[in-house]
Amino acid sequence: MFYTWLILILPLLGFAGLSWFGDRIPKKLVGPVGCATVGGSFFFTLIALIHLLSMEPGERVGNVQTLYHWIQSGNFTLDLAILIDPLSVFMLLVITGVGFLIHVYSIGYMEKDPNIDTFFAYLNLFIFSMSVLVLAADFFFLIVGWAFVGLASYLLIGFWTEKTSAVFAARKAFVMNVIGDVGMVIAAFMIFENFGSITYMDVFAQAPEKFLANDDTMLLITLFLLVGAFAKSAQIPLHTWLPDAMEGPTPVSALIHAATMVTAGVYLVARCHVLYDLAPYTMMLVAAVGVITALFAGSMGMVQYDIKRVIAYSTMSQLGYMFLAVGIGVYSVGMFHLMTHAFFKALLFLGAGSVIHSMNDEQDIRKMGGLKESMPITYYTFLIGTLALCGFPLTAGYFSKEAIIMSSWYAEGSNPVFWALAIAGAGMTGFYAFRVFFYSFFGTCRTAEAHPHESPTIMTYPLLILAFFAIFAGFGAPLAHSFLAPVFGGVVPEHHTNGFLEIIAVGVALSGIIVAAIFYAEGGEAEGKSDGLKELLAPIHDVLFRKYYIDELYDVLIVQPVKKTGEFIWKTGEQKGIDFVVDEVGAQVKEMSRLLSIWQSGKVRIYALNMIAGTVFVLIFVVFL
Amino acid sequence: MGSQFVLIVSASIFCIGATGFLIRKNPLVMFMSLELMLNAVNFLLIGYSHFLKSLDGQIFALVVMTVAAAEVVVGLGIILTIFRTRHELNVDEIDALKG
Amino acid sequence: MLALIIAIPLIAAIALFRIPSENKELVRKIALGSSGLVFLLAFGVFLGFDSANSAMQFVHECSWVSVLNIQFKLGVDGVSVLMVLLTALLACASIFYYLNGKDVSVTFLALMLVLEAGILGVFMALDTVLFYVFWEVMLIPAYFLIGFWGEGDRVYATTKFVIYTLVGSLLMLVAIIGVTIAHYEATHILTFDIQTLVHTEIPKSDQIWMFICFFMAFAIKVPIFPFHSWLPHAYGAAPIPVLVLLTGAMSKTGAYGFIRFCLPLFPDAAEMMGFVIAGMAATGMIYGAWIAIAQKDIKSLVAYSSVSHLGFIVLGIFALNDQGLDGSVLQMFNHGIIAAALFFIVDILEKKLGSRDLSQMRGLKGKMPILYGIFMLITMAALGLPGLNGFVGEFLILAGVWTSSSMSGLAAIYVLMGGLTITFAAIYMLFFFQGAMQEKNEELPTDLTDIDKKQIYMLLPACVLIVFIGLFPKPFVDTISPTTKHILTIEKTVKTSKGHSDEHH
Repeated sequence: MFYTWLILILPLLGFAGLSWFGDRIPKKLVGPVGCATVGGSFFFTLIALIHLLSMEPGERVGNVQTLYHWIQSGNFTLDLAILIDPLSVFMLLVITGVGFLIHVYSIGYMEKDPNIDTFFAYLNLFIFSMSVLVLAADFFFLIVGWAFVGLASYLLIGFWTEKTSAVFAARKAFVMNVIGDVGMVIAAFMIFENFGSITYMDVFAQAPEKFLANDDTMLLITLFLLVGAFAKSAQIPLHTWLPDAMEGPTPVSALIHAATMVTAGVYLVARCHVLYDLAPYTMMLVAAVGVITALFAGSMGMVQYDIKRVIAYSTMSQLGYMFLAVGIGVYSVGMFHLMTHAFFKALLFLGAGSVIHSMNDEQDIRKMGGLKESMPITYYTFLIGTLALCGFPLTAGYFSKEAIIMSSWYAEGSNPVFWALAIAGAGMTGFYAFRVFFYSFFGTCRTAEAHPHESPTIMTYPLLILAFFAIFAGFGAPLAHSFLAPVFGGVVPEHHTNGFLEIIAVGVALSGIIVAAIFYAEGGEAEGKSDGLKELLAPIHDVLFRKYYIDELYDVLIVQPVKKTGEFIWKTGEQKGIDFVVDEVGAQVKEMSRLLSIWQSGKVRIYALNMIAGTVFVLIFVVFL
Repeated sequence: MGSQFVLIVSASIFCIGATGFLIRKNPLVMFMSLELMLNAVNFLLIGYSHFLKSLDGQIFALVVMTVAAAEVVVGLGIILTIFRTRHELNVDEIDALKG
Repeated sequence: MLALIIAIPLIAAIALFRIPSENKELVRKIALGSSGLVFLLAFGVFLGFDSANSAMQFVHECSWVSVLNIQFKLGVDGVSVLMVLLTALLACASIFYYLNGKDVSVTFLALMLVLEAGILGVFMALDTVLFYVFWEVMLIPAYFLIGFWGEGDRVYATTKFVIYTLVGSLLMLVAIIGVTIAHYEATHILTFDIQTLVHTEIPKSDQIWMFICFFMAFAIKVPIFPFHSWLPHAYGAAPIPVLVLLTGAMSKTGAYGFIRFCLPLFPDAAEMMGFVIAGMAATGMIYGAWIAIAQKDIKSLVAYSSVSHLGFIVLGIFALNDQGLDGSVLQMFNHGIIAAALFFIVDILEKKLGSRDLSQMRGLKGKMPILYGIFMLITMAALGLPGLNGFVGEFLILAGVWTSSSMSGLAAIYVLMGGLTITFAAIYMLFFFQGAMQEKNEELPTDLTDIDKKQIYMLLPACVLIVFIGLFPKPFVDTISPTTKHILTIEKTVKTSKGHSDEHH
């Protein structure tokens, strides 16, 4: 299976090549080169998939490919190695597959950008880093990949470096992710301390023997890992960077901030499920944070006007569902939702990109409307994506989300409260998803000078392919579960059927859609007519619209104090404190020597007297004593 | 006439010189007192050279005289310069080295 | 070979004093040629170094003051060979950079070469007195370089720097004599040879005061909190080529001293006080990072970030285990490269814009795409991005601290402080990088040009090393690791404690 290294190497070559020679090759060639490397990776991932399928289920796990001995310090040794198992290949399929489509789409979307070579270089870098993250065979390279996707995300959010808001958003995302990285690093230390190794194989083999459930060490390790997972997957309280990250180009939002990178947290929990199984309390926290984020993000998404921000909040919300799934121990259900989500969310973002593109970079849904006629392909694919997002029966989202909601009722680690919250979240999803849909495609266009037009085929084909998967991927659920089963200890989640519960779940989602239709079926607020929802929610509308004031709160509680304290330490602690003390020591020595120098009267006769007195004194001392 | 006589005379001359150096304010007189002290030492050296039957003391006395001569040259030079610039010769007034 | 490495810059310095300063070409050739030659020799030593062997290699030995048995003894082990390489590289780069400037002073170049020789001597000396001599030799050229060619309140800065450092080094001299006397009492052999002295077991009570004396010298030189107050002034005043040697190489002499003297000579005292010093270092790293956030002047921003990173290095040393020590030595090398590159960039920006105020610069990316790329890489290395060199060192240091037995209870706190420091590093480095390079700026001077070829050549080695060590740290760690293991496990064969000494006689 040595060819699997090519999955990593191809995008890396793409990155290196495009960043060195990108400005020397024709602009037209840049996109195809960028796509080809990712396409190659996808190809090799497929081969790896077939290779794995040809093995016995028991042999599919633990295939470690070592390239070279990376470091040796004391008893700490590490190889540069990758791990091929169903979980990593599953993730790779999403990353390279959806990634490839988004690359193709970007050729059309970024066509006119003068820095398109840099853009594709960064995209390739991202695919490389994400592959490192999922292929890592130990916590160290997991962290390396983890930080590199953070870097790629930073570079791509701030891709339009001349836009101040993008620069700030990029910085925010980076710093938040560094906090997560630090958490992961500490977790890695604890793992190294307790297991004497940081490779997955050693750690996961030893963990069940060494620790009882809810051991303090286990709880701490899993909690520190969670800091990283929550920061990367934008869960409360480390979520504020994700909506701002929409400052980046839309394909970036689709690839990084919807389909792949933000799901890394879910992947991490699934990957370390051996550890999490030993820490039921942490699992509880994962599920709780997940479901709360699902609800919380949904509520903010209901009132936003920026098309990409709404979809970003829906991403947060869906990630919450995934965390709920892994938190209650149905890992492969969570992973499957991760995959379907990648399809329909990438579809939605690319659709939104197509809309934004044709509206000349307008993102405010209040200025759109009536795009149904002018952009038919985008319209239908966006509809499919929206339906899948809401969990409309028989779309991919239905199968995956339904399974999570059902499990939250039945699973051991869950309780009815989680289920109720999950249902409520589903209702919100229906509402905000269709709100955006109606706003953009129904009614009449509210920007007079805009001439919306369908996007070129290079952008619509990826939409069509993703739409296909957004509808039909759901039927692959049993296949996916049995494929992933060896990783999760051979457990295939049971398929729960309870007509009553299903009807409730679907009913709530549909009622969300209906409410949206009541308010916005005519294409949102027309001229002179105010937002119906705004009046209805008047008391809390501002709170939701300002994202619960969390950004402001962080600014007051953390950002400003850190800056002020830095200023204070510098001006007072350093200059008036330590530096002053040191200078004062010098000054006191000077003062003392001034006192001593009074002895030096400058009068010759007194010197002589001193000298003679001294001699006499010595003589007396020598002679008489 | 024993060595005691030499010692007493030498010590007396030395003390006279030292006292003179301490109580006079005129640098020239102080210089003479200084010479007196040096000569007291020379006297002692020569005297003991005689008692010990060794020429070392006399040689040393010659060296001291040479040094004294050199010192006078330098010292007088300094005194002359001070006098030229300040037009007075009171050592108590000359305290530029005061700390 | 090692003697040659020290002799070449000294001879070149004398030669520079003798030739007429009008002969620009000759000055250039001598300065660049000698520092380049030293670098080649250092590189040769590095290549010829047998990393599996933890003993001193390339030992050069001859008697110097035979009455006191002081020797002129040089040698390198796994730690010093990297430091020698680093110093030679940085000296070469900074002299190259200086020669590309407008006014070239012969005296400046000569003093730079003397400074280089001093630092190299410190890293190679195997005799305590020789070490002390080189230690002071470093100080003299630094004094004049800052005092004559500095900026701002340069006399105040250089005086403070020299006096502060001198206080420490005089204490060290006392302890140097103390160690030799302790050895003499046990064996009646007078020696200043480090390799012999490390095997002497010094009584615990003596260890403590000697340790503190050495510690003061090194702590001030590094510097670690709270002995750092000379640094902002000296760094602020020093001209950039000097600053590169100061922060890149000279600050490492302090950390090197801890490894060469404090740990092997006084293991008990190090064990006892390790956690206190680690506490100072950990405080210093947050302190420096926090102040760096508040800086608007990019030169002092980088200066305070150095305080922070040096705290990191010392923290790793006093973890007193393999990982911590390996990480520290690697991080010494890394920080030398990164900080030097950052200071070069600071100077390039200042020369181009005429200001170092961060609020004055914005949106340089459009005009300087090449600098943008290089700067980004160095920024990422400075804030410890995994996959680049800074992370390898920081990871090993924190891993060492976490598993350190000498600071058991406090280890977790120190690691958390380290985590906070890394977060702060991300903040201030992004302030610096994004603030200078990104956003839109219509007011940039129209004649602003990107960095020229020479500047690229100068920054390129840094970039290569940053990526190389990040991806292949093994050759470096393998070089360091046997030595650090040896240092941590030196056997005390010569007993001097009062009870034992009687049996010896």
